[in-house]
Amino acid sequence: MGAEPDAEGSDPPLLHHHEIYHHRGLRKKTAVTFTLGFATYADLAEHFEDHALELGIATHSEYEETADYFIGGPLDRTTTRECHRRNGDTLRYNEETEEFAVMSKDGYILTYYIADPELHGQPNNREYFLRECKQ
Amino acid sequence: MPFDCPVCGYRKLRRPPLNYLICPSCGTEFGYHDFAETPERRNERWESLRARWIAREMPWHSRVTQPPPDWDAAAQLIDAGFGYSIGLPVELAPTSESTIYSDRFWTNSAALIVSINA
Repeated sequence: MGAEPDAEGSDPPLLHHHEIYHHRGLRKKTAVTFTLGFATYADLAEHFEDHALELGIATHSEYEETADYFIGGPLDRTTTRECHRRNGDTLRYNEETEEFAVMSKDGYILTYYIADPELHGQPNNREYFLRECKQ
Repeated sequence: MPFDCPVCGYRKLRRPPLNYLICPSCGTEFGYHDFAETPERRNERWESLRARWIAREMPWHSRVTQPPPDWDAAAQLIDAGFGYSIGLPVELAPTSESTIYSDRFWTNSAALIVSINA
C-alpha cells in the first residue's frame, strides 16, 4: 500500500507505520497505511465476515487494506463524497460503487461496506450518507 | 465491563452498542442496521430488527465469536426483558433466575396464560 498523487491537488493523506493484522489470525505484519486499521482483531474479523463477500474480498488483510485506502487514501472527488462529523469521524461514500466507510477521529477504521437501503432503512444510499454525516 | 445488546439481549458486547460494533449474537451493526435520527426511531428500529431475528429463528450470528456454553436465544431475550417479543405476557418480567427457566419458565408461562384466559 502506498500514497498516490491526489488528482484534485488536495493535501496528501497522512501515513502511518502500523502493524496490521495478517490474514488467518493474529500474526501481524508492519505496513505503511493511511489509517490505524481496525482497533482490534475481533473488529476486523467481525466486519470481514459480514461485508467481505459483498465487496468481493477474500482475506482479512485485503479487507483491511481496501478499507484503509478507501477511507484514508487520496480522495477521488469525481466519485466519492467525504464529510466530517462534529465528533471528528470521517465518512466517505462512493456514488458509483456504493462503498461506505467511517474512520474515527483518532484514525481507526470503524466500518467499511457496500451500503444497502434494505439495511439502513433510508430511501437511498446518498440520503443515508448525508444523514450519517449529521449524526 | 460488558454491555447489553438492545436488539437480542446479549449481555457481553465488548463495547457500547454504537460506532458500528457488530453484535455476535444477532448480527446487528449499530449505526448501520439501526440507523435513526431520533431515539424514538432508533427504538423502533431495534424492535423491528428483533422481530426479524426472531422470524429467522434466532440463530447465533458470528463465526468469529462463539456463543456462551448452553446459549439459549429465547432465554437471553426474556432475561433482557424482551419476552413480549416472542409472545410472552408483559407481566413476565425478567428475573435473575431467568437463565434457568427453560422448561419451568415455559410451564409457568403456559399456566399463567391459561389462568388469564379462564
